[in-house]
Amino acid sequence: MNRLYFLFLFLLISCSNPNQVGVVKNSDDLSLKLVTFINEYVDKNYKTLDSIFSDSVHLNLNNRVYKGILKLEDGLELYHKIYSEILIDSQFLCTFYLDDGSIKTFQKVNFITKNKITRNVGSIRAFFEYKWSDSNVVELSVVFDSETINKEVKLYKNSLKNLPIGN
Amino acid sequence: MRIFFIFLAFLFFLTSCTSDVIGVVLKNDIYSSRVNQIMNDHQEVKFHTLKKYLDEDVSIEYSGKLYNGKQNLIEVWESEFYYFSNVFFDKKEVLTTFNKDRSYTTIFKANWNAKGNFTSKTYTVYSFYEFKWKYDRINEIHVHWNNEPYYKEWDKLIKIKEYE
Repeated sequence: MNRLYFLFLFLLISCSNPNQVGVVKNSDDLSLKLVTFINEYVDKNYKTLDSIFSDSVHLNLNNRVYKGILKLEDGLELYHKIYSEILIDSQFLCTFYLDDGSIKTFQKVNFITKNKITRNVGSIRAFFEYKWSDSNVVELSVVFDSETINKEVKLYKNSLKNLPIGN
Repeated sequence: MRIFFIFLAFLFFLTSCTSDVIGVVLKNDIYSSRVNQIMNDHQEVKFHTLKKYLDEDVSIEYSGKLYNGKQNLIEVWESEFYYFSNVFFDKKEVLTTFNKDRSYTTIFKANWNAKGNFTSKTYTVYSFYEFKWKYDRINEIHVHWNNEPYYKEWDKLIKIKEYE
């Protein structure tokens, strides 16, 4: 029996760190949900949106603030209106499970895009931070260089103005 | 019986330390405090701590652009103050992960606030920094943020130069 106590104590010591405040995972359910979400998104599929994001999700897109899952869907659709193709070049993500109960996922994605109007091929390097509560994302912050996208949104809007009436 | 205990110990090690966990999160550790110091110094336009902990072969990925070498990195870091003043961070969060490959990564997340030197506009940009440590030195830095403030300051600077 003493051996078992010794074994248990040894395990505790070997796997703990006094400054440790949580663990990082990348193949847990929440991480995998987001991998599926981003893979489906590039295929214009929003099926998993409801099961991942809270209805009242807070969105912070390059410090512009929006609220609600409908706004999120509108935003996601906008990119498919601008680009004829969106591909994932590379992605990395990990989920932090902190001892205070908070859970957040950091995701880095490099998208390859093809503009519908100019046919230009470019890349967008985006960073996502997801905050979870009860297995739903309640806060999403996204940061990326907006210079290229702003130009392409302008082109897209101008192309709408130039459409003949009735189209 | 002894073999059984050795086998049990081996099995315990395998199952307890090899799950889907790829690292542990540390707070109040030495790497987090160094990065905190670097970013606090940054607000005061000081680079002593940064220079002290940078590896000679450090690389920085700054919004998709890659710069190599300690001297280049310091120049990039310092160039910020040509375009901006009153730089300060709020909503700061610092943590370090001790990764499965025994490396350390420090994450610094904050809102970067500054005043443009040419437009006099004030900016707030959500920014995310990743510092990768190797042999007690910073070997890689990845910065994620929106370059918009730079473009606005460049535009203004070009217009000023045109009038000169």
